[in-house]
Amino acid sequence: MDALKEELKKHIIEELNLQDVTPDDIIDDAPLFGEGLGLDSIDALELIVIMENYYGIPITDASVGKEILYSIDTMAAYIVNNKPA
Amino acid sequence: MLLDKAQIESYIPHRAPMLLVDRLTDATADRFLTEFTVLPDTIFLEKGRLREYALIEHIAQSGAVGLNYLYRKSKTEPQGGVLGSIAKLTLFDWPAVGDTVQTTVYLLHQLADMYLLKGECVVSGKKMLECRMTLVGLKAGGGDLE
Repeated sequence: MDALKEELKKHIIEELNLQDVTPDDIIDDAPLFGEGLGLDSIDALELIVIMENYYGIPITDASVGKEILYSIDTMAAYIVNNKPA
Repeated sequence: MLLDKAQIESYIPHRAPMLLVDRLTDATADRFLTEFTVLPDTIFLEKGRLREYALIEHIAQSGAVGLNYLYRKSKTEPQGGVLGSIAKLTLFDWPAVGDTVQTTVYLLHQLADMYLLKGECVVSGKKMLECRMTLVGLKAGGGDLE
């Protein structure tokens, strides 16, 4: 799980072009949006693309997506529980 | 060709000199092709070259035209939207007066009224600019694109 979280952080930094942010700066259980990493609703679309392109998990319901994309912990847990065989 | 310049004006609110799409040449569920010819009186020229901010606006307009074209085909009315973000932009060159910019816009993802697009502008086979962008608020009340 730790390796997955580390990989997720690297994808987020790369895809969102988060300059001056390292994986160590992203706390596993901290919110990615708002007061946490400071992402906004537009960035959410990039996170959804990460989930689909790297892990084969589509997210089509915005209300569910809000819970899944809350933090690195919630994203990793959803990937583990829903990754295609 | 699917739409000429006059027809495009019924799909997006832009008007001369801010209208930066001349033709919609193809549109599928995940890809739109447009063209724009740079004229001596085109806005956003510097030293006879069309600047990158005009190409970005051209890609955004191309995406909006393509999306609204598909929406109208599915019998929902086109609506306006705004450019929410730009990322992964690479500028290769600036088109010159007389060049026709051929642009491909890929629809990478849609969630509700947000669209993640990738745009590539080419002149005579040479890439001018590419970037990803988010358009927000374009949903025309008809649900997701099929």
